[in-house]
Amino acid sequence: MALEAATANEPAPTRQPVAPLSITLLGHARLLIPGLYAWSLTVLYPSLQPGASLASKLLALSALPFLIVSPFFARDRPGLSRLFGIYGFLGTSAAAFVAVGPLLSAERLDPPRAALGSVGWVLYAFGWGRARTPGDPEDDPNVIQGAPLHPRGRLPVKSSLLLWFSILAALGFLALPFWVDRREHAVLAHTASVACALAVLGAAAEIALESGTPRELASPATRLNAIALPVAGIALLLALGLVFSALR
Amino acid sequence: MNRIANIVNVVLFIGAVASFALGVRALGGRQDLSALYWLVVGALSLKAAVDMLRPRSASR
Repeated sequence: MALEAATANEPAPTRQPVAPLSITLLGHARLLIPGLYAWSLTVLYPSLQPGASLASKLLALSALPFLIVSPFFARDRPGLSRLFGIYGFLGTSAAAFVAVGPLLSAERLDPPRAALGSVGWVLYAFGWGRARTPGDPEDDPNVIQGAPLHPRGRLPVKSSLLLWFSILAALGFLALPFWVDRREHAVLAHTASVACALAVLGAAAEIALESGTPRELASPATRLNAIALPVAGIALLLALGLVFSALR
Repeated sequence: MNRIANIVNVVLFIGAVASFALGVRALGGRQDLSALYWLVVGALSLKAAVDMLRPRSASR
């Protein structure tokens, strides 16, 4: 009994997240490899083409040190790591793009290389996401106390339908730009359609989750009042569109 | 009233989807001004649809 009482009075040992060497190396590789891949395909390769300016070569090469040093600060100084790995690396890469100039025009793009480069940049962006550290999140000293979150459950049928509609709409957006025949505009259309698809998916997920949780929404009057300004803008735009199409 | 608010929410969302589709389609039809117009209408509709879920006055 005494031993039990003594054990009960002892503070619970705090579990420190341990990062073995393999995890550290994996974290470095996660940041480095996709960046190197995307950089070599889309920044270095065009800047080494005949006709590329010296400035583009120098800018392309200067991007590499930013990427290489960034993982070494990721653990202790994440802000500095992001400054190097995101702002420094992307900034110099973008400057190299600008300096390369007409070599990167839509007519001279190699579609497979451009597609693989895009995948590389997507992987690079995912690499900078933060995975959950080992241990229980509730043990973190910075945890914000509050009501426990609702457990996962099934979405209501209406929310599921809305979500499926948004997924189909997003797929439709991604298909539409393939009918754009002007090359420069096709690139713009692909960019716009990806942005639209992401926005629609995000909004649908929010709407589906909010309407699917047992939490009470604000009163209908408050909700309708909240959209007075955007709806007024939409009405104004629609009126302008009608006038414009009538005058044309 | 709550039902009306939900219907307005879904109508705004579907309006946004339709506007985005019209915008991207207009880009293919060589109607750049029209494309910009529909993309802006879509963005406004989507913003309104999301704003309806968490009105600012309710969170203050």
